[in-house]
Amino acid sequence: MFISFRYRIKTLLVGIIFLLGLALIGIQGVGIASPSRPIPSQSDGVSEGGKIFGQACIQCHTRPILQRKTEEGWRDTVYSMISRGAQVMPNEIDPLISYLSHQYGPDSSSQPAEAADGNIAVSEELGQKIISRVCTQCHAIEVVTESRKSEVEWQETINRMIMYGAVLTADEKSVVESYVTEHFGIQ
Amino acid sequence: MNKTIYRTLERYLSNRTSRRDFIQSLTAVGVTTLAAESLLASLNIELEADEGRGADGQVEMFEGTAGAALVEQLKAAGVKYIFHTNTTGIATMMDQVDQDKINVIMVTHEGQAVSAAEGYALASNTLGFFVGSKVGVGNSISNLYNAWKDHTPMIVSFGRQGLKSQGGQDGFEEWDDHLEPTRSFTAWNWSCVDAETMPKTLRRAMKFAFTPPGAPVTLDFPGDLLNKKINSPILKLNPKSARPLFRASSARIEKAAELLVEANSPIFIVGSEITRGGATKEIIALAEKLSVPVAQDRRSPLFSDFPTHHPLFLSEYSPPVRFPENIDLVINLGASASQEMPKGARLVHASSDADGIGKHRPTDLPILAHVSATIADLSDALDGILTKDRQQRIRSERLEKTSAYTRQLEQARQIALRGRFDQTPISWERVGYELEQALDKDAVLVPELGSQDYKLLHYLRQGEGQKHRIGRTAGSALGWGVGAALGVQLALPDRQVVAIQGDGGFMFGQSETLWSISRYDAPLLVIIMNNHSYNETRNRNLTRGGRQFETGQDMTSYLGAPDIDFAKMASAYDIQGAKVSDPNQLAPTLQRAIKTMRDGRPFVLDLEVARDGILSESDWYPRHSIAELRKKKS
Repeated sequence: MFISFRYRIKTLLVGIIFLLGLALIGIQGVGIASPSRPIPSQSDGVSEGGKIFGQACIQCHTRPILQRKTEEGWRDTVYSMISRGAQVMPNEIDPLISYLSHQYGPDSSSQPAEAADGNIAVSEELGQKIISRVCTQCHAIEVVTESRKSEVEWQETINRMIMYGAVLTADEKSVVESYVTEHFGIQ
Repeated sequence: MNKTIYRTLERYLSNRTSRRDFIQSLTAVGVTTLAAESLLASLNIELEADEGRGADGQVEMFEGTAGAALVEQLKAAGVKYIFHTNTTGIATMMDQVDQDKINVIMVTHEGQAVSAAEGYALASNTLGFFVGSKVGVGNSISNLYNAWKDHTPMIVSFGRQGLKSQGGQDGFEEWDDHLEPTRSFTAWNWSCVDAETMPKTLRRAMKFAFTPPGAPVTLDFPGDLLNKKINSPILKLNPKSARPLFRASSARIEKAAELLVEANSPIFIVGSEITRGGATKEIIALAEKLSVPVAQDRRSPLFSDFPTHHPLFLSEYSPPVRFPENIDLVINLGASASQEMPKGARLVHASSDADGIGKHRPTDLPILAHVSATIADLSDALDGILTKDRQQRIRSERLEKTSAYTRQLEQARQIALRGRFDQTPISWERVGYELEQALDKDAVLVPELGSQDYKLLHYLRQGEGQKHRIGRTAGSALGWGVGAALGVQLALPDRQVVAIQGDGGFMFGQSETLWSISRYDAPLLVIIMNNHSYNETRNRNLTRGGRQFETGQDMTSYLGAPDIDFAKMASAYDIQGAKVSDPNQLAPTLQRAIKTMRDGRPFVLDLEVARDGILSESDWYPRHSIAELRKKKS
C-alpha cells in the first residue's frame, strides 16, 4: 500500500510530540493528587509544605495551630480549606498535608519541630531559638532565613508578624530584630 | 379660592403654565405676591422629586384621608407591595389597597417583614416599603441595620398614637422620641406632624432613600393624621430617577486610565455597587479589555458582581494574595476598601459612597461617582490611550497567566470535592455540586451562611448570565435570609429562588416566615444546612485555646438536644419537606423539591451536613434542667 511521504512525516511528528508530552508529564508529575498517590518523603515535603503553609494558609490563619490530626484528618481539613477559598494549587496539596501531619500530628509536641533542612547553619544562639519556637508556628524557617532585608524592613516585618499573632516579649523582640538583621540583613 | 389655587398648582406642576402666569393667577384671586412667590418656591422643591419641572409629567389631585393619599402616592411611585405586620391605626391606608395596582404582604414579625421588603428591593432594584405597629420599632432594628449596611433604599414606617397623646404622657405602646432608636441606621427619619404634607414627606423620604449610596428611611404616621381628610397633589415619579447619576471629572478618569496602563500587575476589586448600578456586563468588558484579574470584596458579600467561573476571576479577595505577584495597582470598583491592600500598591477607589472613600486607608485616586458611569468612562479613556493592537498584546499575555492560575484553583477545588464527595454527614461541597446539577441555570440564591459558605458557593456558577446571588447581608445580623428570600421571590416570580440557611441562623426568629411563604404560595426552596452547631462561633471562640478548648467543653455553640426536624416543622405550615442524611439521596430529593416548586409550592430541605474546625466532633453542651430545680415535685 502506498503511503505518502507527507503522511509519514505527519505521523512521525505526532509521535514525537506525543512522546515529548509523556516525558513532560513524567518530569512535572500529574497535577491531580489522589489519596493513593505516594506522599513525598517527609523530609522533602516538610520544608516545601511549610513554605506553602506560609503563603496560602496565613491569609486566614494568624494564630498558632492548636489542633493535632492524623494525615487523613489533615487531608480532609486541607480539602475543606481549598473549598473555602485557600489559594492552594493541585501540586501543593500533598506537600502541605505532609507538612501539617508532621508538624501537627497526634504525636507532635506542642512546640514545632526544628527546621528540616540540616544544611541551614542555625546556631544555638537565643535569637535562633526564639525564631524556631515562634516563627515556625505559622511558616517554614526558610521564610526567615532566605529573606534579606534592611534593619528597618526587618523591624516592620516583625511588627507585622506580631499583629498576625506572633507572641514575643519586648526582650525577645529586640533579640530577634538584632539576630535577623545580623544574619539576614542586606549586605 | 382653594380650588383656583389647586387648579393653578396642578397646571404649574404639569408644566402647563409659566411661573409668571402662576403668580398672576394667584394674585388675581387675592393671594399676595409674596405668598405666591413663597408657594412657587415650595413647588420647585416638589419638582426636584419629580425629576425636574414636570419631566415625569403627571400630577393628580387626590381628595380623601391622608392614609389613602399615602397609598396613592406609593402607587404613583410604582410601589406594588406593602410589607406589613399586624397593627392598628393604619386602617385608612389598608382601605385604599385595591389588590390590583398595590397589594399587601403580611409577615408575622417586624424583623422578617423588613428583611422581606429589603429582599424585594434588592431583587427588583426598586423601593422596599414596610409599615408596622408603633411598638414594633425594636423588632425591626436588626434588619433595619442590615439594610443600612447594604445601602438598600427602603422606607420603614410605623403607625403611631394620635398627636394629642404624644409628648411626655407615657402613652400605650408609646415613647417620646419614637424613631430615635432607628437614627443610626437611616439616611433620614421623620415623625409626621401634619396631614396635608404627609404625601410630600413620603416623596421626600424616597429621595433620601435613593440618594447615593442608598439607605433606609424611617417614618411614623400618627393615627389621627392618617384619618384626616386632605386634598393633596400626588406626583407620578420614579424614585430611582430622583437619585442623580453623577460622573467623575474627565481628569480623574484619565488619571485612572493612565495608572492602569502603566501598571505591571493591576487587579480590580469589585463590590455590590456593580450589580446595583446594572454594570455587570460592563465590568466584564472592562476587565477583558486588558485582562485585568478581578477579585470579589469579601466585605461586599451581597452579590456575585463578577462571573465566578470566568478565567479572570481570582475568587474572594483574601490578602496577602498569591496571584498576581507584586500587585502595583488596585482599582476598587464599588466595594469597601476595608481589607488590607497589597504592600506598595496604589489604590484607586471608585464609589458613590462619599463616606466610604478614604475611610479605611489613604487612597491615591478617589473617584466619587456612580460606578456604572466610571466603568464606561474608564473604558473609553483606555481606548483613547491604547491602540487596539497594544490592548491585544497586553490582554493576551495577562490572560494566559491569569487563566493558568484560575484553572489550577478550579482543579484544586475539584480535587477537594472528589475527596469529600461521599462523606457523611453530607459535605458542603457535595451540596454545592448537587445544587449546581439540579437548579435552573439562572436560579437565584439567597444564602445566609457563616464562614463555611464558600465551601458550597464555590461549586455554583454565579454572575452575569448564570445564577444570581443575593446575600448574605453585609450587616451579618442573623435572622435575615428567609424573609429576604420571600421578598426576592415576590420580585422575581419566574425564577427559581433558593434560601440557604444554617440551622443556627434559621432559628434566629425566621421559622414563622414559613407562614407567609405558605400563605402566598411562594414556590421557593428553603435549605437548612443542619450541622447542629453555631460552627463559626465555636471556631472563633476556641481559636486561641483556653479552658473550653483544653477541656473540650464548648459552652455556647452546640445546637442539638433537641435535634430539630425542620421538615416536620415545615409541615406545620402546610409546606412539604424532607430530611436527608445520605448524600446519595440528595439528588433525587432535590428533584422532588423542584417538582413541588414548579407546581407552585415551597419546599423545606433539612440536610445533615458536616461541622468542621475546632471541637467539631463534640456534642457536649452545658446541661441544666429547670425541672430539677423544683423543690415542689407535685
